[in-house]
Amino acid sequence: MILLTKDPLQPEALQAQFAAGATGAGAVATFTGIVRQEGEQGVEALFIDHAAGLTEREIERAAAEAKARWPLVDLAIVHRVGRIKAGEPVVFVATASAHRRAAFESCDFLVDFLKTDAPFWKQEISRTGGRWIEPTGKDYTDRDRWR
Amino acid sequence: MVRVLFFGRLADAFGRERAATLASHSESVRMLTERIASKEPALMSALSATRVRFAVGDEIVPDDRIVADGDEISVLPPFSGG
Repeated sequence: MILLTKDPLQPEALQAQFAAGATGAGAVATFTGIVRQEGEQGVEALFIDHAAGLTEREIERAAAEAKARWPLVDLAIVHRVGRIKAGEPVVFVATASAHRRAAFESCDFLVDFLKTDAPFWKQEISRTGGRWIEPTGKDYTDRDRWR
Repeated sequence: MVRVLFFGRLADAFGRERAATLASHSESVRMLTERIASKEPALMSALSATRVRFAVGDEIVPDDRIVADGDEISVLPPFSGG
């Protein structure tokens, strides 16, 4: 499942639904990203922009790469778009495989991809206004581990 | 005619619901974007401060991709999700 949504995410329900559908898997790895409150100003929310069509297509491309690199039973990527309040989940990724290593690694790979290579644009919104965020050097280093 | 869409910080800099529609010439997607920005100081400033990529329809293309009539061109600053 690949889904972009403006609605709040419910990671527990997504995890339960994913695990129930991953017939034959011996391992399910999940990642939930949450909007942090940080900095002196305090981030009140994130705004996530995306390019409808292109964003889904690029995520599907990464999902296909994950399936080619690891023996996966299934995967799920659910990403929120629009305005997301601090403390709320912004992304949910799940992978299922026969064994844990493939599940862990493919989940890590997909999250690294979403950080730097998926067409999203992230703006931190605080009391003083909005600030567009670009990936850090660490984000790119993390992504490059998979090349 | 072609339609050009701006995303992220470029959408903020351009305004107007992020989109421009204009007549197409024989030029690259980068040249077209620079032509729009030449009349838009805020967009020019945002463009010069970041590295952009381009898509036509749902496909990422090289900067020198020549524009064709009917194209929908997306101008993409560095991605940042998750």
